[in-house]
Amino acid sequence: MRGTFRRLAALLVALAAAVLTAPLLAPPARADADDPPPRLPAHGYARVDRIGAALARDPVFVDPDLPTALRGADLARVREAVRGAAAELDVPVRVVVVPNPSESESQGQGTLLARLLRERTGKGGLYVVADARGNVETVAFGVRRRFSALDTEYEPPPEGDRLAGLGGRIVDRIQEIRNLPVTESPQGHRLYGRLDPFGAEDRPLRDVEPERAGPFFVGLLLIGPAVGAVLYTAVRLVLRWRRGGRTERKRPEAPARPGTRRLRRLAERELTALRTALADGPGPGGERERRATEAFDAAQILFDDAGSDSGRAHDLVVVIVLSREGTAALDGDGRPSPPCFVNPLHGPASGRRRVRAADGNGRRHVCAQCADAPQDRLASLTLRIPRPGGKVPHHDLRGPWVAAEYGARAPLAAKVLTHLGVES
Amino acid sequence: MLRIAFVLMAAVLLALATPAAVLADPGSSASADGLRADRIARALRENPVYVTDHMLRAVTPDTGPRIARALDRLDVPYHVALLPSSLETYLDQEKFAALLYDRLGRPGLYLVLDDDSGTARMFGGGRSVPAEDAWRSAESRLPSDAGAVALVEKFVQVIGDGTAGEYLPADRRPKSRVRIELDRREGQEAAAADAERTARLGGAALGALATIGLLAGLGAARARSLGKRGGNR
Repeated sequence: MRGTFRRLAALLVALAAAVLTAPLLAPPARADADDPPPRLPAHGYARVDRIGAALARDPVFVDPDLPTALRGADLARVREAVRGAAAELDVPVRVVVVPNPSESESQGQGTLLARLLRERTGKGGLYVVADARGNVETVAFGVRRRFSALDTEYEPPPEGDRLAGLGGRIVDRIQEIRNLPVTESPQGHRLYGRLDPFGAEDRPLRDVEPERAGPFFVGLLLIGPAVGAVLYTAVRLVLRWRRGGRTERKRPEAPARPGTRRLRRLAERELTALRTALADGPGPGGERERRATEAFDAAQILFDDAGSDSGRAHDLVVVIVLSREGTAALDGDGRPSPPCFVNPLHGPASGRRRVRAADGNGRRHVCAQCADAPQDRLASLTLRIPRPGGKVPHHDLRGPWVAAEYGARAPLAAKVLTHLGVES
Repeated sequence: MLRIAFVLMAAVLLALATPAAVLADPGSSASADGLRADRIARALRENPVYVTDHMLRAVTPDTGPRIARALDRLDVPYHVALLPSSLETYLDQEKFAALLYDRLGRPGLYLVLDDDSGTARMFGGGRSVPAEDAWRSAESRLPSDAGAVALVEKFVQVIGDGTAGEYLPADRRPKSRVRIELDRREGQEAAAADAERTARLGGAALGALATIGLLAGLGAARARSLGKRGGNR
């Protein structure tokens, strides 16, 4: 049974783990960055063509909307650098300084503007593109330099005036590329990036589809079983507690090796219970009440007589037996069965078996538990009475109670009264 | 001695003050805005509507003619410059309108726009329209992404209606496409969260029932087998 349960639990845990990890293993969607630029509508090339026409006359283009970006000495230095670089690299070198907002045909990306210029003018070489924010991009089409050696970490433009020193930075970038190691085959540099078609810049937001399967299985395999187990355990605990309370009332307290103090406490409790039951009953008159009262009187007298004498533990056992018989008499007619001979505290006997006692191996009245118990268990079930020398089995003691077999041979209440000299 | 120190101090103060004064002069023809204004004023003498080519994705080729057609109905001289909202720095449209009037020297209506906002000012004497009020009114009645043409057309319509002083409260302003998309997305997210919660709850209920049934079955089976063993003894 336990093995089945364990296998089932393992299966549930494995299923839950599979459900939780499956989304992590799905491959991520990837867009190819090196697509050729899409075909723009005719009017989309207006600015590119304007810049291209200007570049045909002068390799350094500064847009009239950025009139202060490159002026005077700076412009002269840039022209000088462009001439020098074009001669050394043996390709056209062009510098473009132009505002490039994100609404432009190149969507604010200098590298894409360079690719559009190359597409429209048909001229490759080295392009240096600077925008109104002072960002400088270099794009190469077929230049004999090893661009993988290029340091791509650049100092950002100054915060206050972002175009300050733009000429110097452009010259530095051209110089850096000139200084790169020479290669045999022409190389491209920064030819990636993608352009959205006109009118498709704002992709619609992806629709949100409810993901029902994940939460459902999490509920089914993790939350549900946990809640179910907790509920089931709680219900079982409540049921056991309630049933336990009831059975405790049914089964009398029957220790096998009690101390004198415990016996006295138990005797006192049983006497009190019988007194309460008699007081709550319909009063004297019936046969039941008569026998209960008789048992109570004998028990009470014996209890008082025993007092706190530690040597009279056996008498306390008789007080308990009498009190319980009195309580039982109130609930039923007929003479009650005598108590179990193995341990009189077990309650009324329901069968007989041979019990080894000091006065012989007679068949004695025993309770159901003792009737079924194996022979070797019987010793541990036997009531042992505390004596000055230790606890001894109660039937090893000589006395009227064992002789009467606690009422099996002679009525116990009468025996008590005779023993105490109350009646003769 | 004291005189020499005073002269030195005066020289230092003068040296500190001079570049600041030069930089602070917005009308200086050496500044970027001044140079731009010079060039655009030249263009406006030829054609009263100047449209930049730096924003081809936001400004369609028919933008200039449509703006001109709308403003023709106003019967006042107009000059329109549609420029990127930010060049080397943010472009102050009101100041730039004043700068354009200064360079052009012609009275009339001056509009400085970018792709979705702008400013309208009247300069000089002659026939006048409530430009600033009408512009604010037009902006309040359109979504924030309506575009330059729609703004100018609404502006002309507001002046024609004579409702230039009336503004739509901000909460009744039409929603932009982005806002509409975001609202739709938000609704979808709420619905999805709801559906997922229901699914989780349903799964949990099923799982709980199954577990309780399983445990109860196991318990009953154990009790039966125990009872059988007890009976055999």
